[in-house]
Amino acid sequence: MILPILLIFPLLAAVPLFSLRSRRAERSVLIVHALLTAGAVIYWGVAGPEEFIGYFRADSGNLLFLALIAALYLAVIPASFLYLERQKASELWHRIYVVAMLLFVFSMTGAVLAKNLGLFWVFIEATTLASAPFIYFERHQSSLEATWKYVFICSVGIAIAFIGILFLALSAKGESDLFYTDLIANAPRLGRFWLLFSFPFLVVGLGTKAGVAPMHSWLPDAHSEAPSPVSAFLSGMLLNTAFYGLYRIFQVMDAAGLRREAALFFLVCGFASLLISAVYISGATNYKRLLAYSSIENMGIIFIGVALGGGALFAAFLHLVAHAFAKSSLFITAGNIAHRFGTKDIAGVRGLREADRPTGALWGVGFAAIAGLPPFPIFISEFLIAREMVTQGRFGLLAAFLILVTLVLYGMARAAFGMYLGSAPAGAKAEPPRPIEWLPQAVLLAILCLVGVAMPEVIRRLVEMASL
Amino acid sequence: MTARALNVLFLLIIPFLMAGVINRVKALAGGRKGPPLLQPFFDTLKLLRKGAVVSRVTSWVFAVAPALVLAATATALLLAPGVGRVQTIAFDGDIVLCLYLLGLAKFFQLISALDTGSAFEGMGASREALFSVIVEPSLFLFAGTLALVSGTTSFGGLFTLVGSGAWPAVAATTGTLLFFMLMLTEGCRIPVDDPNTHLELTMIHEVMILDNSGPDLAFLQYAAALKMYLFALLIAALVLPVDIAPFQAAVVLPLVALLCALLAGIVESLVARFRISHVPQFLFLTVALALIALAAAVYFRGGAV
Amino acid sequence: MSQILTILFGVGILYLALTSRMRTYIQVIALQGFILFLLIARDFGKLDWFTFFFLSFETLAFKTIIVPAVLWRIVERTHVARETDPHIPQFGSVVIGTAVFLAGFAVTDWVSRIDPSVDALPFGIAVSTLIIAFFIILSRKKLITQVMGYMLMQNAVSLLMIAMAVELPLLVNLGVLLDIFTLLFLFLLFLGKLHSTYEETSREKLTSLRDQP
Repeated sequence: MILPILLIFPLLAAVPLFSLRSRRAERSVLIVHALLTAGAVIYWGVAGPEEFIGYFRADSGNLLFLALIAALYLAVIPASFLYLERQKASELWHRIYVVAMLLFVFSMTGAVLAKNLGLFWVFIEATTLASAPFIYFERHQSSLEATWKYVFICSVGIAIAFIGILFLALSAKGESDLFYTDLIANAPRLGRFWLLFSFPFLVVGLGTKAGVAPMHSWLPDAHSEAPSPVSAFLSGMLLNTAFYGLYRIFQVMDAAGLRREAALFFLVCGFASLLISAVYISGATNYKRLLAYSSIENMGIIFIGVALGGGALFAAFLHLVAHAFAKSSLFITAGNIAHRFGTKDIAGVRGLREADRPTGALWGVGFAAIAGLPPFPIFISEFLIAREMVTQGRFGLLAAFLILVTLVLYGMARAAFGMYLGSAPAGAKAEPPRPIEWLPQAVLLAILCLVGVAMPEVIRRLVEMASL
Repeated sequence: MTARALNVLFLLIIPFLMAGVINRVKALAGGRKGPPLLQPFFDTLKLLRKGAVVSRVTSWVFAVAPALVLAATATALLLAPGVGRVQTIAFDGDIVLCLYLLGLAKFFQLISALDTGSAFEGMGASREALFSVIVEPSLFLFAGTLALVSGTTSFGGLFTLVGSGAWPAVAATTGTLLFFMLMLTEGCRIPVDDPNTHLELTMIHEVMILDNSGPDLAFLQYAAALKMYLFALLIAALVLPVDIAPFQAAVVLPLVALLCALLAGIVESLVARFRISHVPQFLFLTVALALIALAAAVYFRGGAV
Repeated sequence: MSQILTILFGVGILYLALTSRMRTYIQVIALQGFILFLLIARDFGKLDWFTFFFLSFETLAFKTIIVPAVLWRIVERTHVARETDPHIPQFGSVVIGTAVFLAGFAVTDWVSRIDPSVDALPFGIAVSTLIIAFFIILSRKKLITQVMGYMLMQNAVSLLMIAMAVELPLLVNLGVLLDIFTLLFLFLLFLGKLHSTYEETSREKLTSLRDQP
């Protein structure tokens, strides 16, 4: 019963907001939506799968992604309110922000819930449309540039994905419709040639949205120009949503006996992403772009994990969760830093430690989490992936993987330490930090730490079931 | 026999009519009434009655070139498929002779222009030579493709577009476009050359025949019109059905030729002349069309398509 | 007849590679939209009436009239008459365009050997158009030219759908959603935002966001 409500609520709630013209109503709608999403996830976790009109389904396969949406949504909302307050957003732009957020979450939820590949594609297209206003939100020349790049590159990607879906439909002609479950069940009888032909298009098309190289070029721009809470959502959830569909198609390929070919594409994309971020991250002068390049790197690691299979599959999904949490918290913190120092330049930020103790601590801990230092789960996932490479005897890959990951780490560490240490400029200390600034990120990082130290059974099962 | 007689008859009338139609269309588009349709014919008659002025610096080449150009072009036309695809003269490999006769005509036109020793005419000749370098390969490539498919090197069998699937449609479309573009180029019409311009710097064909007068000029102008008619004939051979009745063909063929002239007139009225540096690109498009036809012949002819 | 239309669709693309004039781009896009409409009209009996009207509206009204008209207005307003200084010289574009066509036909030959049910000619032309559209998007600098490259890509996708005769009305109708993006681009361009912010609507100006490796 809760599935239709979850899908219809954001659409219905967006309408009266235009006539109410009340910021408080807009905020409460967002909060209700977030709570509803979280409630739905808990309900499905307890009561089991639910279907709606045959096209949507919440089950153990996508529950992890829904849980991620819910968790990040709850974390992003306080940061969003803070951001809107700091920006002194006009009534109109406040409403645009809230409505776009409702639609953005709606389209991501829909994409994850959709059982049909065509429907998934529609929702992915909707995510682009719904998130475009955010990137233009600050209305600088550079935000306009980022918006154009984002919308244009993503829409080209979407068109390519559509071609892939056409070819997939051709391979399924007479044997299956485009429901994932049917595709996987009928996989051995699908036309192998068209299936193989469609896969590169789908990887390129959806990979554009998932932010893997070489289709990544929109990502640093969009992430650096969007409001920080939205960057957190883009990096933590949007990339994963696209990955979710791609993983389903990967499963179809696997079931059709084309695992080797599919894995090759994933591996190429994964290592290309690692390479790109390793090359560009040390040259980044803007710390939000730095985080964006790190997102490219982490999506690459997830792709590599999926391509390897075996023990690395679990690692890939664990990595996905850990990256979503850590990166969201870092982006929200980056928003606080940008407000305090008035710049997004790495060179302009010095002495975070003394300027704002909680933010500095969050920056340091978040960095440790994303870099894969021991108590955090990224350490586990990267270790598992490396171990899988050893098990499969792919030492060349292992060497490349370790070198590239270390290079990225070096690039990030140099910037992060530079920002953390030193003495802060006088203006940066003016405002005392408020709890709302650091609480959500602290909770995210605490959960992450818990997962790393002693993984709760619920989370282990969620991750495991998602990878099946 | 009738078909051959008609071929010769058409050869004498239609080229003038085509030139007349183009002029009339341009006049109408420009808001003028325009000369009578047969004005080019009257002009030719007038020129034939006049004497020629020949520059003292020219040699025998200049004297024989106009007659040679006309003779070669007219012979080439006798080899081309005429009414009902019947050639006036036919033998195996006539297509090669036809194309080389056109080349011979062009050669003599070029050296006769150079023979005058005038800088302007030399410039026109050099441009004409440059464009020919691109035009000839496309013509040979397309003819070769047709020969490859039909297995014959005679114009008669060349244009019966046999084969299944997409090939006949591809050949007809690309061929028609190709021949039309070549008609504009070889007939010295607008996007490539401007027959009406009075600025020697921008002319190609007109500047080459600047020194010719009297019957020589008439020969060269008639030869240019004949070349347009040749390409109209080739278009007709491509688009008209294979099994057309002879008397129908006798009616339809002039209509196709005049339609081509009409289209050429419309193009001239609408399009501006290209910059000289732009023309090779335009001409390369003909090579591209011929290449597409060749690719279609290679790929789309099998039973699978 | 439909084969001839399809070839004209392809030749239009080739002509595009030749030109740098914005108006020619628009004319070719409109021509392709009209050809798509004719190709769909040919299938009048095969489609149910809703799909038929939907598709003919999309091709005739949207692709043939509305989008080209708006593009035309933008070109007039922004005075970008032609694409100057592309990365690759014009003559090279024609050569590349031709090579792409030959490659597209070769791919089609390979595909149609494996799956004879594919209609080879439209498939080949759609594939070639797709590649050329990418080429235009990547090699041309002006934003409006890139939008036109995107339009070409969409036309290619439509042709591909016709070529493959995928009997999935859902999917065919979904393809129309791609047009929403076109509308968005046109909206952005038409607002003149990109024009007023940058002296010239050129991608070259869009390089303030960039990192050095």
